[in-house]
Amino acid sequence: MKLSRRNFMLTTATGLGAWGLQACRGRGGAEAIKAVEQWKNQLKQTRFALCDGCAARCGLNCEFVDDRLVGIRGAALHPVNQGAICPKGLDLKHQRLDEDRLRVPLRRKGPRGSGEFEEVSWESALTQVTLAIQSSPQATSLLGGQYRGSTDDLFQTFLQALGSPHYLRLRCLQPELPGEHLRRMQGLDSPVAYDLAGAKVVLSFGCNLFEGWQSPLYQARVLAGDTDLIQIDPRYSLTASKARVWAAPHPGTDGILALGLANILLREGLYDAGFAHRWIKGFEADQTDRGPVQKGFKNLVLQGYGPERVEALTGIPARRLYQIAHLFGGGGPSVALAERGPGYGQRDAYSKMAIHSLNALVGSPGRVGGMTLQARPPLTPLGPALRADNDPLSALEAGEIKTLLLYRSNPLYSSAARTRWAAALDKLDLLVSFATQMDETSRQADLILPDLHSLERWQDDVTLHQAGVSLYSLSSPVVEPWGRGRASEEVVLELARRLNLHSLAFPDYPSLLRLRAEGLFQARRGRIPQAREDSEIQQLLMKQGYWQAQYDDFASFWTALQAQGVWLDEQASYRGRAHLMPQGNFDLRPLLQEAKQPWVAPLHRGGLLLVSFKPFALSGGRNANQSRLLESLAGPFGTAWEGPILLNPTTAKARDLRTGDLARLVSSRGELVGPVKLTEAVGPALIFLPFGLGHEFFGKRGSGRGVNPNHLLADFGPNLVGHSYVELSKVEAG
Amino acid sequence: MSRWGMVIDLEKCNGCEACAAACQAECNQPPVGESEARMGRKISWLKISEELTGKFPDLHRRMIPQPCMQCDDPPCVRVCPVHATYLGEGGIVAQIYQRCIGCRFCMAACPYTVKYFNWYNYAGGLPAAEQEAMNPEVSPRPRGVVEKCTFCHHRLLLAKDQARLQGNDPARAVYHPACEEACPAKAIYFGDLDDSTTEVARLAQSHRASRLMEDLGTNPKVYYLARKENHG
Amino acid sequence: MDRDFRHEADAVLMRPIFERPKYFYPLLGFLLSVIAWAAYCYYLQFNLGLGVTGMNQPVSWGFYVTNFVFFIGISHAGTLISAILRMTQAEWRRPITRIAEMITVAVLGIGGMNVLLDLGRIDRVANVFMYGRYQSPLLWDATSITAYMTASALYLFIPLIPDIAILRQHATGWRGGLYGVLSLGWRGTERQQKILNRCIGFMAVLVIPIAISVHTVVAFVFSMTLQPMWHSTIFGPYFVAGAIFSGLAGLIIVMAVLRWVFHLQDYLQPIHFNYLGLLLLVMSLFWFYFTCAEYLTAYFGNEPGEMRVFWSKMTGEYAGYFWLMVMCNFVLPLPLLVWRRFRQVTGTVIASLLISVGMWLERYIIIVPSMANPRGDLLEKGHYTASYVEWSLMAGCFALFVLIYLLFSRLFPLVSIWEAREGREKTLEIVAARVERYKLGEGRLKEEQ
Repeated sequence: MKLSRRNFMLTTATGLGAWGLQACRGRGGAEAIKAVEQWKNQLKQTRFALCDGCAARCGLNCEFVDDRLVGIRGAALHPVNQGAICPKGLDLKHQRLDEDRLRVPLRRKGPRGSGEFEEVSWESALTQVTLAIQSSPQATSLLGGQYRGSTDDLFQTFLQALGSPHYLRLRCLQPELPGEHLRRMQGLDSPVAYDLAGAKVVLSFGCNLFEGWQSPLYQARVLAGDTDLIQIDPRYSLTASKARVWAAPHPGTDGILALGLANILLREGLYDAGFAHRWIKGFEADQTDRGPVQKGFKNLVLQGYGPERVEALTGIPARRLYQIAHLFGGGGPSVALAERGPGYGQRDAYSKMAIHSLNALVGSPGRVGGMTLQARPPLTPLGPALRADNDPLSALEAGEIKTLLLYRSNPLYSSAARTRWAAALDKLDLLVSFATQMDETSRQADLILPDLHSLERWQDDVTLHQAGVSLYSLSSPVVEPWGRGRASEEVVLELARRLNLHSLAFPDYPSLLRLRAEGLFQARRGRIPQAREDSEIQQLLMKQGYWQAQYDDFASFWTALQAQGVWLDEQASYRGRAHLMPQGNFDLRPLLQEAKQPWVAPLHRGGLLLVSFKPFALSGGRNANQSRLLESLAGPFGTAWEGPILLNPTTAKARDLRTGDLARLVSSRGELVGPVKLTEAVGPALIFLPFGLGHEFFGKRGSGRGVNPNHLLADFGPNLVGHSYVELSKVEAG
Repeated sequence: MSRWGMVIDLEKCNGCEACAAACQAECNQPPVGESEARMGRKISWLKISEELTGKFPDLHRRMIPQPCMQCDDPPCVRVCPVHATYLGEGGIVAQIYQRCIGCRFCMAACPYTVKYFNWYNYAGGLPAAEQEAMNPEVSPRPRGVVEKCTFCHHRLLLAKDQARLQGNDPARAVYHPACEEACPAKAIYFGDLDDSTTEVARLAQSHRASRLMEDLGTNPKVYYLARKENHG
Repeated sequence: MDRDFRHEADAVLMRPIFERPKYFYPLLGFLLSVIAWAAYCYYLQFNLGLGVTGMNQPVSWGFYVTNFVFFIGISHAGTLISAILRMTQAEWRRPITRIAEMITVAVLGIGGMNVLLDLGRIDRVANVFMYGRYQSPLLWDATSITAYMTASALYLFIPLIPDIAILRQHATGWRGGLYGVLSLGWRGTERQQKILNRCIGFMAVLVIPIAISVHTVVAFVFSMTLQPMWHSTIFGPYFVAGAIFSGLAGLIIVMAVLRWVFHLQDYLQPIHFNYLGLLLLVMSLFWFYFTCAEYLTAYFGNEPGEMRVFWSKMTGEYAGYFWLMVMCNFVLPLPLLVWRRFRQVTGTVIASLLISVGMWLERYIIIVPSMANPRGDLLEKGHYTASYVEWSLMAGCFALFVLIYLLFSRLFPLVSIWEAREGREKTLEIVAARVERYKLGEGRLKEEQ
């Protein structure tokens, strides 16, 4: 071979390459690869956090790489979600980074509602609040939305210490409290846990089990099997589409429908006669009473709620009533749910009690697959409880409140009584908002003390509504705060310090939580789940009544609780009927009383009835600025980034409306304009409107998007109703 | 060699969209924004369609989650001019984002319309903080290329790494995609279709199982379980 | 040399080359500004992404692919028609061939360019060569378009050589140099003429199958997928027929424009329009036949996916486009082309304009409705509205076509001078000799004698 320059280069390069390859392969290549893989696998760290997306409070595993939060997964050991996760939880990662978030304390500059604020120091803001509270501590109040756990207890203790009787709450679901019907009929003061996992038939009256009610992920898990779900709902919701039987009564007639079912159960003997005899009060006509004989439940139902009449009133065909009654009374454990969030219309109490009477007929209290009671986790108490006032508007209108702290509540958006709220809030001397987003009510505030994002602060939660488990969850901050916000609990504790409230003398909120957790440690029950494998053995042992200490001292218990985030007690279910009916009976007489009340408004008339609902993606109530959730609003609810007015095609055709057209809705209370979408899932006389959009103010993406059904809904007092008669017309383009 | 497949139980699925959201979070699919979404440019590797039949009140609805069907005979692969999409390891239809020239022939050829295009630089247009929060296992896609569901292939790679570290056979590594993991109703099953011991293989053989547009001969590896017979 | 061209015969053919027309700079300016605007729009698209178009999911192909198919179709006007006419020795071809061939060369490039406009990553176009997959119909397209382009360019150039030699005699300056090089030493010897004629004959034969393959594989891009109303064996021939149809229409329009602008009435006579009109009529009938065959087959097959597309064209969202197409391609041109009275310059030009619109619409409604109505009941319907960027780039394409033609007209004669001369001088002889050969019945008579 002639050694030209070209050949020389080629030979050298080839030789060098081959040598290089050989070197890589020979020396430590495998080890190097292994080291990189090991490093890669250890790179990811997981920290537990509680989800703040809705009232279910699932457990999350937040994944970090180099202190960057890069992923969120469901925590497998958390009993609520068991590793599952929903879009709201997944999006916490981005919600935290929302540039519209309020991140510094603000003081109002212009007149109320002008939206003019100036940045102030925490010192100046806290001094202002302290002075206002000091001037009249009893006239201080806190209006809270949806939250549970130590935050709730802290606020109660704070107000107690101030001597204020006003603890106001405004929300549609109250998972930690028993419904009014449970209080009046069973004498309960703790929420009931429906044993959905054990039930064979679940009869849900409008509870959106898979979309917003209590813990949708838990319900999705336990009801995905062979449970027969019967869904009573005017709306063909996602839950309804998973039901074995779905019936769509005229809105507001759920109670009548329930008593219609009771009629069939009674006539066909499909009820638990033993239970009725032993526990139900007011079942038969009351003979012991002298004077006029008190009609019993049986008379009421058999005389007043025959299938034909019920069919006429509810619109449900009699054969469908029989089908439901036979399924429900078919012997398998069955349970009826009377806990629809927005209530059942103008006769809410009557409807709830009527539905709940079905639970008495099948003897579900205390039965497997029926109703149980979960013991409260033995947390160290902070102080005496202060019952929340669930009619905050009346309390505010009474004028006794001068300073109001607003926590996770936005009544100017979420209440149908918007004008009354505006007037009531305007009377305050000082309105302080803890909001993280400049919403409608916060714009009226005098001071905004922004809370931290849920992943930036300490959170805890007590879950009592999941049958079979008493649950305490706790999570420490997983990411650094963004901006100068402060956890509202810390702010309240700081106020307590400045006001010298000795019952709240904690250096910070974590030490309060730590004190509370000591109660758990000392109770000698329950456990912190460590891994799936462990839990089965331990569960078995605990079922046998053995309790074995997992930790020698509180410090290690506390560390483990922070790491795992869950303390649970599977032995704390009370199935004893005496527990479930502390008053000694299942009293149907309040129902008989309610049944005598006349209907204020006609049940249904020719017009179109507007029904609001919460899409799953927006069921957290504060999601209107989350682009990923807005973009997912497709499916049966509407179009991405939009919450349209949902109409039946026949309704639309009569008004020449097509999907995408603009329509005007007018009710006795107001009007709104929005795009329509046609779907067969809406009944011909109904209009559905999603709740969660239509904010006037809620960040860049949340403001002015969609419509707020509250502008149209009738105001029936403290209970949200969710429907109203409306006129529908087309808005011509241009 | 595994042949990864998925079985989705439509009887269990309640349409909560957790799988789609988990997929978007796991694989860094950015929101495209309002105007883009209205144009139909939404990127959701796992899309959920509503199938609503009947007239009110006699309705029947199924929510049908559709990831890439991971066809054994994928029409998209046949038409790609540059070998940017191919049938890869374990039967997963892969997309090479760095090679794709953006001709969208694969999108035109896919009968399931589960390939998505980066009309703008969606991922790069996110705020810096959101880019920081991306999953580092999955590369974000630049503008002008087609992207698709990968059956969480990066998780397979991780599972293989882990198997190697533990001294196991990486070819037998088992993994779970984000959608399966997130599903609250446990309606999604995932595993090796060729391994007769897996739940997936058993369900795929069940009489309830069918595949979308089976008659097209694309041989998808995503199966759907229909309604049980004892249910009316 | 340096003789005044005006003394030449066929001086009118050389005038635009040597005398700058008045409108040249204004027209050039106008065309360049349209192209500049289109280039700016493309710059936007290049910078921001294909998002600036109206394309979306599932309508992921729109104007660009429509224009690609349309322009490739127009390109059939030229070389294919000229080749067929040359092979059949149609005497009236002489003034038409060059015009037709030039259309092909100009428009083929523009058509191919539309594919590039459609790419999301034009910067990676080299991947087609580096990682090209021959299984993809897109590669077939690339191949046959390149082959057609090369063949057409050669086929345009070879008959141009004698003309360049003629021009060389009159040109000075840079033109002289250019023509000197391009005339390849043509002296018009008998041997040269013989080689030239053989080359032309060979190219004419070669070009026809390539041309047919081009539009067939363009059709294959669609028919090789499973999409409803695309996956059809008729697509290949249907596209070829449509291409010739639209190509003829394009040719007639260009001829009329050139005839009017360059005063070529002497060369492009009504008889040419009459003959081309007849061809157009035949193709219109062909087109109608293919269209009926396509839609009737789909209708009777009654396959759900196809029917969704079918009805969206018949009565749905695209019905307007569909029926306008039928009007433009068949109903309106038919009377214009059937009656001798209308089959004049004006009539055929009107028909051609209608057909051009109609054929563009045909391409559009082949592509968009099928994409907007994906197979399967589950999938959502799509919608498509082209954005200003797509409209601008389409305008740019037309401007570019005119520009190329304008520049060509300033460099080379639009009608082949030597062929025209040959026609004048030798046609009668040649034709007479040819006809002599097949005088009907003569052979038998001779034998009998």
